[in-house]
Amino acid sequence: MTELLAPAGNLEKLKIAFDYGADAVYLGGTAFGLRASAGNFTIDQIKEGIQYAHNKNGKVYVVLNILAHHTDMDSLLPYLKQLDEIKPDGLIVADPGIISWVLQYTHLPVHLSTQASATHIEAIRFWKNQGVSRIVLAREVSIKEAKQIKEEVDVELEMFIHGSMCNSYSGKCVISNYTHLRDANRGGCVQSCRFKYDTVEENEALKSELYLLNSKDLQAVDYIPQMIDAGIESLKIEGRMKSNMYLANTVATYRYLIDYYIKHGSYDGINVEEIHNQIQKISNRTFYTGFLHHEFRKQPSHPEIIRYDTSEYFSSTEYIGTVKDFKEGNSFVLDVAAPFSIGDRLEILLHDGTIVQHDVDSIHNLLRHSIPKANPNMLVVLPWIEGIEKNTVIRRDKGGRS
Amino acid sequence: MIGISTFIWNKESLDAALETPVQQILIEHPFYSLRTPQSAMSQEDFSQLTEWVHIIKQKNPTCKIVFNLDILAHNDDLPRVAKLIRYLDEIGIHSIRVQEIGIASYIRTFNSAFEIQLAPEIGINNEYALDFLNQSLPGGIDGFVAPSELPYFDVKRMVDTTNIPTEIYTFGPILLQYSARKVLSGAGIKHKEIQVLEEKRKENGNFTLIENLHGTFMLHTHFKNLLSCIPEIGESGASSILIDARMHKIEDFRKILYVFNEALQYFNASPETFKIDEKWTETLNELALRPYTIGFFLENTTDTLVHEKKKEEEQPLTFVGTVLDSIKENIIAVETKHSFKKGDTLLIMNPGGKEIKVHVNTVMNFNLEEMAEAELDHINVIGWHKGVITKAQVYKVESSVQL
Repeated sequence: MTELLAPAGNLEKLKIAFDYGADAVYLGGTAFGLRASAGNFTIDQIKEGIQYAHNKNGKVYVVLNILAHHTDMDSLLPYLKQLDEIKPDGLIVADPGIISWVLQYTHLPVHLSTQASATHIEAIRFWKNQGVSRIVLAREVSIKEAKQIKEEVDVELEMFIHGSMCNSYSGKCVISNYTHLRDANRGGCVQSCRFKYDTVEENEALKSELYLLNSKDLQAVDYIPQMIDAGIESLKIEGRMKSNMYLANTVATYRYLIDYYIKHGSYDGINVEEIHNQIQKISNRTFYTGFLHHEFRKQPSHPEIIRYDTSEYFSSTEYIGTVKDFKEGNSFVLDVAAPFSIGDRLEILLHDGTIVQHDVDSIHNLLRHSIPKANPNMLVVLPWIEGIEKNTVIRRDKGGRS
Repeated sequence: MIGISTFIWNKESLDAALETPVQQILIEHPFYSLRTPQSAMSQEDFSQLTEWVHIIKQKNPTCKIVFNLDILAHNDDLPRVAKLIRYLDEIGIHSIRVQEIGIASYIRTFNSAFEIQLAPEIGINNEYALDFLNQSLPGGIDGFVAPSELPYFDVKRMVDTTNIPTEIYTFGPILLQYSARKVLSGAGIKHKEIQVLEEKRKENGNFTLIENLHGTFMLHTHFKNLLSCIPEIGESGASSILIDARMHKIEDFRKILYVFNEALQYFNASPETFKIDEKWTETLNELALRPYTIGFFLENTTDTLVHEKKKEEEQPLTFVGTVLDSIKENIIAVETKHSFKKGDTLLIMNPGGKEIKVHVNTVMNFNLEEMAEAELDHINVIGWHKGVITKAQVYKVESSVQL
């Protein structure tokens, strides 16, 4: 069974992830995680998320992947004990000190974070011998290498299939510490790799302006069969800070691909080009396939790795909102993220991945007053559409604009 | 007693290190290191390494010879590493310095007496982490270079807990990032060395970015120089200081070694009366390639962010939900996560921090039908209150809490 693992930046996203077909999610608490800007979860919210997941036979992994300093360890033990009580399905950890405490003070499985940059058989063997039950491989490991590891060491492996890439090996970058006095490995990364740089020959005039460190995004549509065949237990989508639309779209797409390949043994019968088109619609810094292909890993100078001209996201669809409530056969409530008007055509991304086109012919506010236009940060009531459920994500084609 | 460790990169630098004399010499080979400069030994021939080891043993038998094997290995590196380890054993290298525990563990599977030292790139920032690796690695850890982002009092905790001989990176460029990915050559840029000016940089000044033959690259800030912090180095319990002067000329390298050697001699002889000699400072200032910094050695200012975050965790009220709409002089819509009912008192906190106390007079569902209490996980509607905006967080005030 190959697990599809999705990011959950908050409770709403957790539910969206499961509703669109994720087998498991990973989330961060309010401390000890690397995404300080994500919504993050209180203990009560983690507990609620675990209940929601387990009701759907899903799993929840809690991220504690900072590289801790002494001061962080002071408040760690009470937090670990709270987690031990509410029983998430695993903790994703990078720091050996935290790993030792999780092993010593909890009964929870330890997953080695990609922050630990586990890249080869001997490293994986070491961590397995310490009691780690799953290894999130460094993003620089190819599928061929992962397969070799799998053949040599009996431990669960997890690999990234989609999302942003660090420019550095994860956990090996401290640029933010020095430029912004924010610890990159304790939730303070300012994403210096997305800034524009001027390159200058030493002591000479300006040569050019480039987004020198701006890695393109990973996209593994074509590699799912190889990863399943290699026995990789968990396929992971990056992006705890990304939108509901990103989450719904990527989860639905990879759910379809995994299920199809497991059922049919090939992609024969799938319009793979259309899959690429669909996934291209959601915000990305242009895609490449990372280091999944072994030969590509051996050619790290390949110009396809970096997007030099801009670090902006591209998207040909716009996130319109998420369904918050409904009365079947009557109406539903949409939490509006982007404006739309009567006459606009929207795309409803149903939980099974089906996309339904819908022409807006009426919009009402909660007082049931008819309004011509829905604006962000308001709830609107729309007429019932078959297949709509809570947490259904609605988007709009930008008609070629990005 | 605090000793000196230093990198060497050619015969002249070896001579300078031996003349000082230093207590530990670090040697790299381009195949096995992140940042061996182009002037290092040839890639094809290991005989130079053998020769240098022979010279060191002859001229200073007490000097420890360390091979810096700080690559982040992949599977196909392992056979080469195995061959290298057998060779290093043959020629009598004392220690191997690594940046990841997998390679350390692999080295221990060979029947060799190598000491294992951990390079700072391993990212060990607390005493529990170091202690765990020390206990987990067969044979334990014999040396540790503290990451540059650690203040001396954190280093002291690590030394006190583990008793592992610890080194402080004292002089040289600060490494900001490691990656095995070429970025510049990928963009078609030909260069020997370039400077990178960051768009939003703060007062810390320029980076310099260097890409070596293998596609690895470095980002540097100011040069690290902890001459003024020798008393704190002593207080940390460190056994040695690390000097990396590979970007300097040989004559400057000699002067740098001279300054630190003399300073440590004074300090080791009488830590209580030690004072920085202005001549040492002047000498290092004359050799500066870029401005000096002591980095985070006296204070880790990045802790501020972490501590601010922790304060936010304290929350004495019960979270009820989030305001998703507010229609002026009519209603407020709340996505409800914990139930509340008519008569309850809510504290609504707007984004930005403004707090509004609200008494609940009515609760409705989204169809505006009156409810006894709010439905969990649904949109519920209460009466409008001035000042409440969308995305505000709603808390129920328990009767025991005084606002």
